[in-house]
Amino acid sequence: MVKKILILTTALALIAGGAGCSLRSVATSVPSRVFREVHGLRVRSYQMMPVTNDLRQYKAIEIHKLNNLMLDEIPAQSVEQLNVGIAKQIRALNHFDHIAVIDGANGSQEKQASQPGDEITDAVLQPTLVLEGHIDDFTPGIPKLRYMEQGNNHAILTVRIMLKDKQTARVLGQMNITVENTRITSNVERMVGKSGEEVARYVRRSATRLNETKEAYANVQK
Amino acid sequence: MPMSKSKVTKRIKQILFLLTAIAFSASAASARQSPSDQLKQEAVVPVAGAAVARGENRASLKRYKGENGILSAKTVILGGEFRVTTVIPFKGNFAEYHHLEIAKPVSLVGKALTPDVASRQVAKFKSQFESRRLFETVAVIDAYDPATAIQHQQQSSANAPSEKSDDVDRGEALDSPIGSFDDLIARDKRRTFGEDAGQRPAGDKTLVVVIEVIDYAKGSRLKQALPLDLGKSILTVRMRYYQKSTGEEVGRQVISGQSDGSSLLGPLSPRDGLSGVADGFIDQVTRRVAASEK
Repeated sequence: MVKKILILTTALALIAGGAGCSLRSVATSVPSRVFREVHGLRVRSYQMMPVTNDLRQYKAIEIHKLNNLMLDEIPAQSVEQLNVGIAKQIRALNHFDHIAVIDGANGSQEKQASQPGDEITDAVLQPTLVLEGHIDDFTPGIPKLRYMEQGNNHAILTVRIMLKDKQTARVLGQMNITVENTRITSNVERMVGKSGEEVARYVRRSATRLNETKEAYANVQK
Repeated sequence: MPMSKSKVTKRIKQILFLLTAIAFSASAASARQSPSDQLKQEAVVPVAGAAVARGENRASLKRYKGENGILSAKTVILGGEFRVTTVIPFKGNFAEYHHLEIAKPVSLVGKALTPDVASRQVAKFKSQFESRRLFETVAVIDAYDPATAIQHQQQSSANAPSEKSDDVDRGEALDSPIGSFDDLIARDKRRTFGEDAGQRPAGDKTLVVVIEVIDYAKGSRLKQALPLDLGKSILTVRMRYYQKSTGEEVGRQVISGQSDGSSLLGPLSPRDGLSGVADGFIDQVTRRVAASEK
């Protein structure tokens, strides 16, 4: 009798557990899927070194191509898209009078002076900000697994950005930016584009706002 | 013999109590971020450079099958999946490495990674390697600079072996004159590298792993319980593998682990991002050593 009750209880528990799991997966997957499609392109940023100086004096910027630490694991077109995207977004800020894009491999200056008629010598004389960085992580993810909502399936791109003073080579600020894409409907290009936007946003924040730099300084003081 | 109704109820209560106890033990194991646990973990970490585990057993490696970190029964039930991106494939014969040194994680995420968390991470890697008995010694070191090793290698190859040993003998003899502070430092360096390059046999190398944390989020089990895809525990590290004596980079990988509460155990799962990274790290090294042993 006891054995029968025990077997019955165990069987019922297993059935209830299994049904519960199935119900849970159905009941919980719909809201999370909807939420993911809305907020699936996420950004995590970590301040490695806060900007403590007033960078508003810098009206010229040198954008160096990012140092690719992922080697062949990131497609060349994604690297190109990221570098071009960063330069494009920084130009769109309309904050710098001179913008130069430097090829990291041979040090050649690809483009100089965002405004026609500007002289190269002018850019050299005035305080110049240098934007450098590294591509730390990249994976395109597995879209099929995203449909199933299983496994480590998301796409990710991590870049580390440094702002330097050109004359002194002093690091003025450093930030780690990770863009993660868990959307089913989105793709790698969108994620790379978002990374470019985030880098430009960091440059804008650092170069235009004094109050944030003061806050950062206060945090260091603590 | 038929049992009374009260006895049956009592039995059912006992079973329910047991199930509740199991559930509580799982959640207790998952609450690893408690300060007391951190202290315990810190106590496990030895003084940098000190080797604790001795003994190596690679006999079982012949049957070793690698783990699938992206999707497996383990990750479906417990969570804590991982991915490995190999940037520089492993070079050389890993069967020759009998000593492992793990450098303390370098934070590339600023203050998000506290020293306590970093210590916990390295302690976990160390304990898992020790339990697998893949290396004769497993040690935690403060840092490793491959440039110094390369410089030393170049210096030693420039000097003739006999001349070098004569110099060392002369410098360390009891009747030798007292040297300057620079001489003392140089002598210490010679002894340090001599342990690996000179005194150990050719097939007894030391593998050094430098860990750089490039993404870290502690996560929240409470948020994981909400059906909103929030509160993920994430850890992404770049592992650089070096041969200690030469400073040569013999491999580079990015390993990322995460736990988002989507497993069968949900937020009660004891696994987190660190569990995934530890599994991935140990699996990759074990695979390579096993392949070399075969």
